[in-house]
Amino acid sequence: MVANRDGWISLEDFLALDLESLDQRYEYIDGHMQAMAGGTNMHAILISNANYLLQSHLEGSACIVFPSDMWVRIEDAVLSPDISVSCEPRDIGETSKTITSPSLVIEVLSPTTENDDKGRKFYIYQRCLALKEYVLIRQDSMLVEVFTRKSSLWEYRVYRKGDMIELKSSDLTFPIERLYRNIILSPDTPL
Amino acid sequence: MAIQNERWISLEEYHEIERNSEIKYEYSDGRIYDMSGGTSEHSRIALNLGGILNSHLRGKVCCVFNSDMKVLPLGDENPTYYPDITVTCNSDDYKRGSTVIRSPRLIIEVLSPSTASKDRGEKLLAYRACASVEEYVMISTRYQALEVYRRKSTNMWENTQYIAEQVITLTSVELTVPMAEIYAQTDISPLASALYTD
Repeated sequence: MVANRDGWISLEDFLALDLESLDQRYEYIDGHMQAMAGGTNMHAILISNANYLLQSHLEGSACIVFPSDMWVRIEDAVLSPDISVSCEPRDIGETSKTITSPSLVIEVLSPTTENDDKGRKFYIYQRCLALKEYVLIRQDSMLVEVFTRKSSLWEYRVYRKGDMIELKSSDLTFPIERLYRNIILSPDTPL
Repeated sequence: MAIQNERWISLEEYHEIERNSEIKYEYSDGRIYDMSGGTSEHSRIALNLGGILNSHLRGKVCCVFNSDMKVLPLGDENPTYYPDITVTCNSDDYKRGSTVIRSPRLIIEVLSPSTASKDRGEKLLAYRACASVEEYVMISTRYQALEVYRRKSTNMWENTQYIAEQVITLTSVELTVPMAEIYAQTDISPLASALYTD
């Protein structure tokens, strides 16, 4: 691995790595490789449910739903969101490791990633002008946060039990319960 | 800030701990969080913006408070927070002898690595659920970057992010402030690319 003493590695060297052969998944931010948290059972089920909802809705359209092994490149950062959707021909046609124009990015939150997902990574995703929607799914309670781009700012909505989630970027509306199918939640979460 | 306890702490125990301690603790869901200590830049930023708000609100019905005041966003004591800056426009909150704010209009948190996760997670949801809150602001201490969550309707909020050299607008108190004034006398980098806040 081509990293110097303080862990700095160039973007070019990062992209040249055989990423699939590494011990775990990494993202590339600020010149450094950031190890990604391992997933839980709940994490995997939520991704699978979200993927199913999107896939069935987008079937026959020009859009593709990508799993987390597709990298999203934004300026000098390379991220690996749990799900990304792109309708951009250039993202779909090429034999590339990365896409650059996702319209929708979904992350399943865990307590250790929440700050990064809402802070630093959200700042990075905003630099991607193609991105219309950024969705954060909680696994410890039935709660989904949706950021929808509206010119220079983002609309922020929170969905809970009984709500219909609206993803404007993909023209998709579904009950939150369908996303949380087969997820066992602790009975009482106050917020 | 550090989580103090592994076991569940009741509100009664929390009161007892606060009575016998020099330092403040926040409380949520059986956990207490030590609020002691802070960096010089954290203190500068809170004072800079708090001072601007204080001058701006003088003679008006709204008052600005520092982190000595408890805020109860959900009405009862779970959770209890000590935001860095709070503005309330409800005289019940600032009448003589009042020790808690129940109707905050504007909440400002200066982020630090140990609190950012709670500020962006649990607190964002709690303040969103508090009907009087119109704006919730988080200020980075790593770079000159700031984010504002602003209520537009019950269910819909807006998120705006500002970086160095911009001028922020706080509609809840009808105030515009240049970022440079918030970060005055700190050596926090303006950050050209805005990619890497904390």
